[in-house]
Amino acid sequence: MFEQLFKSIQEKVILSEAEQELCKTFFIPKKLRKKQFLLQEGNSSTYNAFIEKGVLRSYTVDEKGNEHLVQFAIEGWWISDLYSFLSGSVSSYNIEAVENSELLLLTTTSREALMDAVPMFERYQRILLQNAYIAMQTRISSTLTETAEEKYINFTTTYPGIIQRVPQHMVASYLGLTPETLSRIRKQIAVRK
Amino acid sequence: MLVQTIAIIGATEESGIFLAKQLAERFSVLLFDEETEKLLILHDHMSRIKPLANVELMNCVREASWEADVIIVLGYCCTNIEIANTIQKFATGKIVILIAEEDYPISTLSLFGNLQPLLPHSKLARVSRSKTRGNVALNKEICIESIDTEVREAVGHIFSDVGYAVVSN
Repeated sequence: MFEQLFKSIQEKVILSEAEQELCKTFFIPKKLRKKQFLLQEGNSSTYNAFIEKGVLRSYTVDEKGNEHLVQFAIEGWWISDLYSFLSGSVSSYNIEAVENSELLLLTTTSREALMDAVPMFERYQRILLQNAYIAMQTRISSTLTETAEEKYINFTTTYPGIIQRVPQHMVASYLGLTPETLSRIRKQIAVRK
Repeated sequence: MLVQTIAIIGATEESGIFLAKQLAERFSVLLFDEETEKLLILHDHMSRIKPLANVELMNCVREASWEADVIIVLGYCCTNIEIANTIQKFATGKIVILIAEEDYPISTLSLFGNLQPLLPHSKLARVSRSKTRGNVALNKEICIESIDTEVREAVGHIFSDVGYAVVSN
């Protein structure tokens, strides 16, 4: 139940076995079925979720009812509306399971308590936030400067294997493309191979 | 706390049947009981009277606890060590509501004292029906006991969402 979590942690910091056992007591294990929500807009984000198994997506819905996919999260990734999670404010995001998933959830209280109890976990969180900020900068730059094909190729590098697990319209939404444009790009790439 | 899914362990107890019907108005309900035949009868009955309710039978108490946001344990299951050991890992950080009614007398102190060591990282609450009314099955007034004020409030919200009134002991 904690394999992916400790693999993620050990890539960045070292925890003793005792610290690992202590960490486990702070997480809420939760199974989410496909299309169940971890967060719905209008609520505040209670959890920061680590994905042991499965795929989740984070998206907003505009005034016309169109979905805009902000993030996918796969095994070994974290997902939440961080601003809402840390401030308690109402979220404008929806976080939904794309497939049946197994999560480990941290509340704001348990996260603070865990960082107090296991200082290395705080270091791990700091490294994650650094990487997330860099990833966000990269995504903004990609959105502004890259061609549709470049966006798609970078997407498949960031999320290897995900194309087989999520509907194409979701990938298109994430890349800011229409499904038709994405389909055309994929055919062009396939023909070149 | 977003509560979507509630597991009821020991669902075929008398209070379980009534509770499942009420909770299914608002939540996804997962039913588990070792008496599988009675559970099938309960599920069949609920499918007929509440066809739109999201109620599912679970053949594994572990899976039910893992999926649930809140776990309700009824009657004899409240003191079943095997069940407590099975759900322990999957109940970490979750509210576990114990309902042991008049036909299964045990003080709250004993109940919590026995169970907390088995569920050390769960948040225990006991719900009992108020004794102000004679007809237990229709009594929708409840008392909530818990060491934790936030847990009492959260449990109060769950039950008031489905029409119960929370009264003091």
